[in-house]
Amino acid sequence: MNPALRVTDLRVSFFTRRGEVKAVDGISFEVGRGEVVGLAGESGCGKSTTAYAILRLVKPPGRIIGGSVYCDGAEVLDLDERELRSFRWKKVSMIFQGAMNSLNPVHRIRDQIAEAVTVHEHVSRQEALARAEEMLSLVGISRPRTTDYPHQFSGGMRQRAVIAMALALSPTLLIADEPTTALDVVVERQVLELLKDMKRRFDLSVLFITHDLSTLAEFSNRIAIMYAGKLAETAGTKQLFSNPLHPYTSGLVRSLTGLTERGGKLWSIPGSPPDLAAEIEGCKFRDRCPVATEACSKEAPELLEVEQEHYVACHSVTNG
Amino acid sequence: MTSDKDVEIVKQSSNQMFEIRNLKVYFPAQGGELLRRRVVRAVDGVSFSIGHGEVLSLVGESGSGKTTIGRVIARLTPPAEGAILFEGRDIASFRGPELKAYRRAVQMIFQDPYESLNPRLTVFSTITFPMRIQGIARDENEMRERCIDLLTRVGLRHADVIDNYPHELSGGERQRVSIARALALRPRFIIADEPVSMLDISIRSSILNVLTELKEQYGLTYLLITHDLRVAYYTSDRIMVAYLGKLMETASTEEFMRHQFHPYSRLLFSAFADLSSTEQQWGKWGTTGEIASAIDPPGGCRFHPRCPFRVDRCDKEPPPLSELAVGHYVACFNPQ
Amino acid sequence: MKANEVRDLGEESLPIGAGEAVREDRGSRAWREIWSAIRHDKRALAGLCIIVSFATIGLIAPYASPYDPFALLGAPYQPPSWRHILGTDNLGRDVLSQVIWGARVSLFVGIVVALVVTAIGVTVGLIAATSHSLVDEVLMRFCDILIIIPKLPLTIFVAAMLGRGIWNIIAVLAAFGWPAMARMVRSEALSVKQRPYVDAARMAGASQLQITFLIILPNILPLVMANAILTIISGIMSEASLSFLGLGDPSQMSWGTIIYFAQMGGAIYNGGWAWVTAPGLCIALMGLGTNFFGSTVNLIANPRLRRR
Repeated sequence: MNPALRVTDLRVSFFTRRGEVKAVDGISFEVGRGEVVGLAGESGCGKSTTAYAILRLVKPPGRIIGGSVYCDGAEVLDLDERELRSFRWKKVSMIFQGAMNSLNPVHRIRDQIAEAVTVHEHVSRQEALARAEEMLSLVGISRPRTTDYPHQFSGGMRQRAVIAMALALSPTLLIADEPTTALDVVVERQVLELLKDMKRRFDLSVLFITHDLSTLAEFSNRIAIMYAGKLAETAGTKQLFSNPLHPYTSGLVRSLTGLTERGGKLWSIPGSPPDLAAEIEGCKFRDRCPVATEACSKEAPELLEVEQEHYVACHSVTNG
Repeated sequence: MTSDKDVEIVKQSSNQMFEIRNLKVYFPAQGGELLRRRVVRAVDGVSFSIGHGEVLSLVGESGSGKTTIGRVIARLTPPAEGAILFEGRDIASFRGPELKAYRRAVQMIFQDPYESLNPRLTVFSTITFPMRIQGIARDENEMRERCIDLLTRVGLRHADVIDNYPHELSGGERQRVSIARALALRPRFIIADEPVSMLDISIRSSILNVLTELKEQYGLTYLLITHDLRVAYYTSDRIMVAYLGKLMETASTEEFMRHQFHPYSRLLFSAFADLSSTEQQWGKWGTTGEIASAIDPPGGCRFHPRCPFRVDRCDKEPPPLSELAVGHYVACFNPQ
Repeated sequence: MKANEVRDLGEESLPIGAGEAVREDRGSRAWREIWSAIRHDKRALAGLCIIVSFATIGLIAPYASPYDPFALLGAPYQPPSWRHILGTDNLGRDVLSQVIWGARVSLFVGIVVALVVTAIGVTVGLIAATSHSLVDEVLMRFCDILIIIPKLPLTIFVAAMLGRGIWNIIAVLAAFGWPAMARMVRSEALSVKQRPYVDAARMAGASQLQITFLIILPNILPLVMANAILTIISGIMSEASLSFLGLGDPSQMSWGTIIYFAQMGGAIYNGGWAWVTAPGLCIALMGLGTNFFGSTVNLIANPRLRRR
């Protein structure tokens, strides 16, 4: 079956005065139909840049310099302007970090969604409004509130409105970039439940980007861990949590569960992510890695299949 | 509405570092109808105390008033009613040298690492700024030494950051600098307002570790404000739950985790799948409902519109805090 | 359309290293980094060159000018020649010398007006932002009144009342110019006041005065400077307008007065085309320079508008 999204060897770099910053340095992954794939990593690892690249929203000084993004039968990186416009929002839509970034403060919520519909499809304004109302009620926003302005909504409601807008044209793939960051935990839970509901209802494929592995634990089918522009590990969710192979992944998983145990010190990965503008030989994680060897400073490890559907990029793991 | 019972409870525990009595904070509301003065009841009658050396967590969603409570204790926002007693004295009465001493004793760490450092000052200038204002170091050399010491204590390699500007540091590093700044005056009490909520999950634990270590080293007392029960659970001795400007429940952390009486506390607890493995009674219920407006809060118990356990009394009068177990207070007419 | 609009990558989503480097490209607030950004931005650099050139010409006018601008040297209405590169005016005075001295006077007016406007505007703006709301209201209403009044007619009226001296003109221009600066300073200062680092300073025990001068002022300075530069050209142009209408100071040869004399002396009918176009061109060029430089500095120095 055709995957909803296939990214192959994607490379995105930022060309700054300090040199070339390899934000995304050759990553490949797939999102199957109806599958939820989580892309996890710390701030600055390149996961958001990946999302922007899929929608071709990378702005200068950033540039997509290589690779392929194959989505729903088309090579996204080759689309022209017109095709790109119909691709965005109809085939793939995105929920951006921070709902207020997506909402125009001077237009009513319902009108904004209706506008999104009319721009992409040839329907009457009546129909567009009806669709907007329908979507909004699906996400739990009652009729009288659909004519409010964004600032009249609470943070959680805004996020739900953004989800409604993203799904208004029934895309095949939804990219959610940190959708629950900056929300209170109770609201976060509500939004996650909503996303689960929407996924079921529309049979969506979802690429869920976050720094919080715990939200992926119950929502995603597969998880890809990203570090310093490269993929460290990809596996099915259960597998990743029960048997994390890459030292970075096990570090992340450990620092999570640490938060639920009392007494003693919380565990955390020492050090911090590397400066991507600096050229680093070999594996970019080696400075923080508890099992780094000689080989790690010479050659960057490749992503290899170690178990069924479980890929790791680590010399210590692949070389035993 | 005055809760004499609440104040009574607080009075019983004397010898506390802080006593907050019937605190009310109101803000003028934006917009609204032409002639009516609308008011946001951010904090609407809150009383509690903070003991020496304890870590007290104030847990709640946005709109609960928790940040406002912190700001009032920090003397950044004036209360409409009520009193804050520090070592038995009303902080509102502090002037001149007393106020200066209070400022030395009480410090704050802010939520947003990107906005809590002055972008025009180097790390060195930021940390020594309080020292200069208070005049507590003799000369540049001493200030530099103190600064290096502070940076090391918060886990930073001082040489790497001391002369840098905030934008050259990562979120976690900035937050550590914030902590170092808060320690510059050797405070006794620190208010940490959502210290890790804007940081990556993977570095939250290291920051919380720093706070815990410093507590031992400096003999600090903390008020930790958070919306994340996990953070409260790990770091605190006692947990207080706030909703829409009022306290719902307060108990020691162990007590609280073992059993929550108030329906809202249970809702918060259930939002953490990893903590609530045995309690699944919320299901769909927990996924609906929004926090109400603080301008026109529900009458009676603030939580009653969303509460599945409400009884008749709940919309008539606000429940007082009552002691349901030793040291465990709940404001509810139908505790579970 | 929202969905298709390209959004700025928030800094938090940029990779480590790129964030800092991109931030340098967009500039940050430390001076040396602003300078570095200017150096690499062609527009800003071009603007700076223009401004500096005119300023230099103005400064060395006594030496750069081939003749005394008021000296009656020869035939009137001469077209450009080797002796008189821009020709002569109706009294036989060398136009090039006039334009060179004009740079001095016009720039002087522009700069002094900018300085005064900035001084008053910043003071009032800061007071409004850091005082009791009543004081703030009063000051802002006062600014509003000054802004609403139709400026040119009133300027003409006041200038006519006070007479034609250069200092009177400067006074009038500054008096009507400061409210706009005050408003901008006030809104920037208010926005800085909200930031947690100001709270942190209060918690350190800083007084209102210390906060205003040690924290708020430095943080609004880049914006103030950018606006001050734009005020220079606005001052030059306002002075030119006044002079053109005959309210300028005839004893001073500013670009505006040159145009005035050119118009009075019927330059266009008499072949003195260089006489009328040269000063106008100078004003336009100066405007271009300050615009390039001022707006780019503004863009660079403006703090991030939005967080995540």
